Amino acid sequence: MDLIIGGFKEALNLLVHLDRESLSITLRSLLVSGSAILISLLIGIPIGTLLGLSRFPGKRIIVSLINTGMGVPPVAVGLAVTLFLWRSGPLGWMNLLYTSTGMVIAQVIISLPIVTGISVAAIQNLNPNLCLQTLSLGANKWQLFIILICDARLPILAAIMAGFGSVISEVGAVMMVGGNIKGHTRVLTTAIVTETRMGHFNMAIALCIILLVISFLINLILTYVQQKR
Amino acid sequence: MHTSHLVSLRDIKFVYRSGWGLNIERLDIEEGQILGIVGPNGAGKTTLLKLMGLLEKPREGEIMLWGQCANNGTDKLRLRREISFVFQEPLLYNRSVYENVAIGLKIRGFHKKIIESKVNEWLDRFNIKNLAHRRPTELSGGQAQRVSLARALCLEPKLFLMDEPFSRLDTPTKEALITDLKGLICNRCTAVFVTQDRNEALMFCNRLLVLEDGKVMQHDDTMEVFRNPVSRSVANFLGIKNL
Amino acid sequence: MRFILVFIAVLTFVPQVIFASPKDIILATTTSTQDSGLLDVLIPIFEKQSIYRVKTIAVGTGEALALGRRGEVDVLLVHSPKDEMEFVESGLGINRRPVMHNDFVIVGPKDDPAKIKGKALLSALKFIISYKSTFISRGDNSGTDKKEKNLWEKVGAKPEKGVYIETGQGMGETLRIADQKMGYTLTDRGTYLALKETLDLVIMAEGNKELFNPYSVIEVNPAKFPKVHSSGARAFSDFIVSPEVQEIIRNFGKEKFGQSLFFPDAK
Repeated sequence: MDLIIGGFKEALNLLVHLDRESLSITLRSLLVSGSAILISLLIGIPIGTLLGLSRFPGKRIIVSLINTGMGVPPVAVGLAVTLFLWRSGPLGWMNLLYTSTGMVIAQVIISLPIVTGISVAAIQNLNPNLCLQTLSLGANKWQLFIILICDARLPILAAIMAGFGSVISEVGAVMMVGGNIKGHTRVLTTAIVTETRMGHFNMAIALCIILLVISFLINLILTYVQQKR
Repeated sequence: MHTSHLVSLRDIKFVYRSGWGLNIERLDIEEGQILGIVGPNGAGKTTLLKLMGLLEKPREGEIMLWGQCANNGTDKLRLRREISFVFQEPLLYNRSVYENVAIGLKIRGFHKKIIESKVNEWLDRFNIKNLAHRRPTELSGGQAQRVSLARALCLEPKLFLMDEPFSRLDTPTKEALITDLKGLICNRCTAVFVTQDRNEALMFCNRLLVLEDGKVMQHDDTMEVFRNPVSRSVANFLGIKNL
Repeated sequence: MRFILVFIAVLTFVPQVIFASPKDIILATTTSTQDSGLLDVLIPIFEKQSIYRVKTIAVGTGEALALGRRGEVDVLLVHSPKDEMEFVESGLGINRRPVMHNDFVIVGPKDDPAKIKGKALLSALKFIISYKSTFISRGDNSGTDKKEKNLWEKVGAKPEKGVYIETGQGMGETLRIADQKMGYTLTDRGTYLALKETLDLVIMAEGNKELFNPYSVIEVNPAKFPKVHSSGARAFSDFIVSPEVQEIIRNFGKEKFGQSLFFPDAK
């Protein structure tokens, strides 16, 4: 119990004094996961919408693959990405291992299936004639997409929140691809691991609290948008 | 194919997944007509309507709309923007009534002020101005369908297509709506109206097309079809007791 | 609106790809070295003095050497003499130099169920086996893990499966598990001292020459792996064996723990 209270005190302390390292770790977490979810939604929502609207042989297999992707353990993704980004690997020339960019790539791979899969379901949940009605109102392809996505905004925003939640809280991929290097690739989750390992429990709990608060604030904003009348 | 007709269909063949199909040798619709397409279930009425609205492609055949060819990859969008389509269900978007009615105008890029005046004008004509800020879930069936109709008509289409738009409404609502609608359509656009209800057909349309098994059985003035149904099955469908 | 988002996304990517600095060197070391905090002191000094930036990845000795064998890292700081020598002999590593040493200790619960306190090392281990006491092992191919397996070989036996627990994790986690399960474990003194306050474990056996734990720095052979930053690796290696740095190593930990965590070895 005293540890938890100690954790809260430490968190407050860090915030009030704007501890440089904690600030940079927090910012990095937001930048990495934020970029990842941004890229995922820019790719995943259009693809999900397209899949939701189309019919072709093999569609069920593709959607199954996407849905399976939702459950792939982040650490497995981390390992796969590392194999590619190693110097001896096919993409080694890009020098992306142990960098923030590498971490973003891994997190895009983690969150993309979630955003895409839920978008497919969201669009398929719309009245099947809504697409025709929208076309009949004179919408071109882009307008059709935007109008349908807007109509399905409730589940699609849920998709974004689920995707964001999956990456801001994961440890396996960022640990492997980023290396948890102080000052370069350490993020909230890997810092919590390190601090715990070193026995700095108060600090670890403080970082947990910061992570939860940030997560809550972002979801608050997204939920507000989702539930807007 | 030269034509002075508003809509012309020639040698249209459409094949369903189940195998059977729509087969229309010739169909012309003149400007200003209110054509009713009637026939038993599964006759192909909705498909025919969608073909006219460029929402479906025929396997074979030609469609001409106000003198323009609508077959090849040519700019269907431009033609579609002169057609309005209303389905059985209102199919309203998850937004306010005002925004629903305005959406077609927004799509076409009209200025905000113009949108405002047109939307208000049509909300008024359908007597739903007081519902402007309501959401679709708060509307009755009749109100929702009025919104859908207002949304379609404020676009001032050349061709107005309706697929059994009143089938889900109760009789008094239906009758009130049909009366309002007829007044609004006359002299404004050409309408094609699919229905299963012969009374609606009588009340609303000045021409009738009877479709059965994907083929045109009869296409004539409404009164003519009722007086001289071309076959027993047509007569049965129209509820005419003696031939 | 979309363009702003795409712009931000691109901004995140471009810097790393274009500016992935050729002055970055990758140092693979063990978790115990990292957790001791020594590198947090040394690396900033090195970076200030040189043009290089060090990216330290802390993994087990096994993984560090595996990465070295593939040329994925530039320089190693590890503590597993037998494997290190194999690494150099196979031509994959060059310029192996002793840096520092500390020692391992056996720790256990305060009430010492196997009554090993004060006994000689191998004897103590035999007692642990016969009392069927819980023993926690790293089980992760690290330097500590290899030393532990080496000791069981010398004893000629091992604890029973049911009481021999392999965590597969770093020293910190392993100590914590030993603490919770009230078992014995082999640990390097540095990590133990760092965590002592949060543990109920005490030192049971120490001082034996078997428990000697030497650290070396090895550069990955650039002849075998052209992508290795050999100049940076050499600079770091020279740095860590330099007299000034060796002095820093000698004094590290004295203030916080009352004793040195590491003893310098470079000549």
